Amino acid sequence: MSLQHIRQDWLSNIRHDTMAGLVVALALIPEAIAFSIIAGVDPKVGLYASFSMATIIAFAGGRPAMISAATGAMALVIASLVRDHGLQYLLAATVLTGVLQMLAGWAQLGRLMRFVSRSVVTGFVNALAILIFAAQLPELTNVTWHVYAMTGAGLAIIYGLPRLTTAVPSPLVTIVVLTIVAIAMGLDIRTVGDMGELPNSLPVFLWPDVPLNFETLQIIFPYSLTLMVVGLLESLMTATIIDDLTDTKSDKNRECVGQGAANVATGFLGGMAGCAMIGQSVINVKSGGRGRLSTLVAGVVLLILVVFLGDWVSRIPMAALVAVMIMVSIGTFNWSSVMQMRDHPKSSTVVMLATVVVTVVTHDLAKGVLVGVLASGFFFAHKVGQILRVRSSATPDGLSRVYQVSGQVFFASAERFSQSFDFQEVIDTVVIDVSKAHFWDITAVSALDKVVMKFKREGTSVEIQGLNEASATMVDQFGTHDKDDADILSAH
Amino acid sequence: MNQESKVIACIDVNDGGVSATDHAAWAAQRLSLELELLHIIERHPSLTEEQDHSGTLELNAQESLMEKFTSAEEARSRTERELARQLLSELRHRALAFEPPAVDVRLRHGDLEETIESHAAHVNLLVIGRNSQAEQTGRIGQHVEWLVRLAKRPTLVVGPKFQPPERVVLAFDGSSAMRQKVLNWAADPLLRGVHVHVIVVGKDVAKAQSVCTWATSSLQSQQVAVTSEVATTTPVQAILQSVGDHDANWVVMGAYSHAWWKRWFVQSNTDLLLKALGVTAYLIPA
Repeated sequence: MSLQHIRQDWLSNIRHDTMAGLVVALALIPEAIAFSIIAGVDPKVGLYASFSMATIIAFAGGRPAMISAATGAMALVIASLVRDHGLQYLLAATVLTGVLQMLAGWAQLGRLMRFVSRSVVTGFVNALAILIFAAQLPELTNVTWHVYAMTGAGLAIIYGLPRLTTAVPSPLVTIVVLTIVAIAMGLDIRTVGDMGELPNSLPVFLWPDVPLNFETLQIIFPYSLTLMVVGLLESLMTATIIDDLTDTKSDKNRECVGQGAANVATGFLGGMAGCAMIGQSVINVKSGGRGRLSTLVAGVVLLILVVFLGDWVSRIPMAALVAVMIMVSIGTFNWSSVMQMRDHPKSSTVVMLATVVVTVVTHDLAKGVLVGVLASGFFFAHKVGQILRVRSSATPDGLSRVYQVSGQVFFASAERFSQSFDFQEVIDTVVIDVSKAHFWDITAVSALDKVVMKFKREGTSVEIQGLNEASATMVDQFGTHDKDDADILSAH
Repeated sequence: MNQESKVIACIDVNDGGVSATDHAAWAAQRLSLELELLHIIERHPSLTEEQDHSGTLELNAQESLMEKFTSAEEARSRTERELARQLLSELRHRALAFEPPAVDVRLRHGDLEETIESHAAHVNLLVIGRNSQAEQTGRIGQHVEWLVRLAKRPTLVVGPKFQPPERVVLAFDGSSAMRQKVLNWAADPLLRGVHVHVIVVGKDVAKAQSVCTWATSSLQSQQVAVTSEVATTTPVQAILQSVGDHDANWVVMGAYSHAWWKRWFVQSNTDLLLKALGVTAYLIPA
């Protein structure tokens, strides 16, 4: 790493990075606990994960100022693995996820992100917000009115306090105030301590206690694969958001490898799989975080706070956490996407909604994104298929006709292409000028083949002009650009 | 000498860049090099304003933050751009009075250190003004340190008044790396006709004396007028004392010879000196 990079990434913004890191550390604690609960593990699993993800990503990541930790997206995937097989399998799956992510980074799979359209990203974000919100509902059902009052008061502080001052993190104030109120009034409501074990020491390196055999791999591999996809998707989406906000560039492949390294370490340190967090990263940038130092401070301070304040953390009422998580889900949801449904093309809306619905139903962001990407590909093909025009004019003597094809001919438009010719016309010669068209695939070529055949059957001779130009687009990854004589239809 | 190399004056709008321009234009004329007046509009608008540490995500957090940043940046970069353009064109006229071979102005977005590092191959001498604001807050060292470390080029840190060198204090540590640089420097047209006072600081007086003798004779052999002394106090004290005694208006010294991360443990002598010195400093990168 060059001196310039060290200066730029670590040292150019020390004061603001430190402050922002502190704000994020405080905001991470409730989230890490809440996501542990979603995943069905002890809060310490999420807290260790958040420490280790944030700390390692500070060095290994490709996007300075992006916060990685235990996340809702990953917690949702994990939940069934923990329920069916237990924590140790989760740790093993976390390590494997990291290995897969590193491989993906080295294979430069980050480039595949360009197929994830904006509508899919919006769908992802909205689905995530809905799921985080839904995960809070169990804490709000079958409880006494105290819990509702506490949650309401928490939300009031979270949204009200910044109007008075932005110097202190309002979610922290919420947690402190509600904890004091709960203890002072001796309220019998659920606290973080009721949800499981909190860290009482620094994390230690431990090999996951699972049999190293094929059966274990069979159990964890599908989860790891999903976690890899979800983790990289959210991380790369977040990286793009931070790129835009700060008007700087990031190294996406380094981020993939960094996420992998962080997950490998996290699994060995007893933490659950994590990835970049959209909400926290936005909070970091908003608080002035720009460099890697902000991420490092967030991770280290989080661990120190939790280890030393463990007793106090266990007394935080769940209602305070719920209030914070409601704020996170409201802040994550893209509200303007709802307003824009009227103005945006219907296909975009359908893609967004498909991503949301599939994700919310399956609790799997990877499936949601896959459906979204397929749907957007489908709509795109359909739209581009419209860009095809066939004009024709007969020569004055009425013996021949020239068809001029312009536009895109491929699987989605091949049928329309074939239907544009009048085979019943009694004529001697047909000239098909395709020099202004693009033939993209085998379907297009075989459609042209068929057209030629049909004319021949009618006793019409066919001349094709400009096929070389039109079919140049077919020569793609096979890398044979010198196929100038590749006249596919020369046999006719 | 490299035809493409230039004297670059880093123009800071806060101090008006007048002194940096004068020194750089004078140096460019002496060295027969092109002068470039460089101003960087640094793009961290959100960092200069009041910080929001509320840790909350309001509705449409991303969009609203994006809008906030964009509008702040837009307004700021427009005014800054106008201001900088005007300033650079005035300074260009000012520089022409020194008759350097050519004057170029460059206005860029980005980061000063990064820009200088990427153009280091074309930089012969960097000139940077002591921004009065930075001097008050004691942060002068920050920019200078990174510029010297990244560009690895001689850097002139100038005060608010134009001071061509007359009486120069040369702080010399006797290291082999510095010996060659001192020889090169003695032949530098910038120092034509100046009087040099060599100061060597060291607890081992005999060793310091021999270093001092080498420097004196080397300089004398290049027809430079030289006096010398050996001091046993701290380098900073000795140099400041010497500057006062000889009424020197330039100090020439090696700078930032320690690794960058050590500055959290040891106060850099270069930094201390830059803060205390009232005169022009010519820093030779280690």
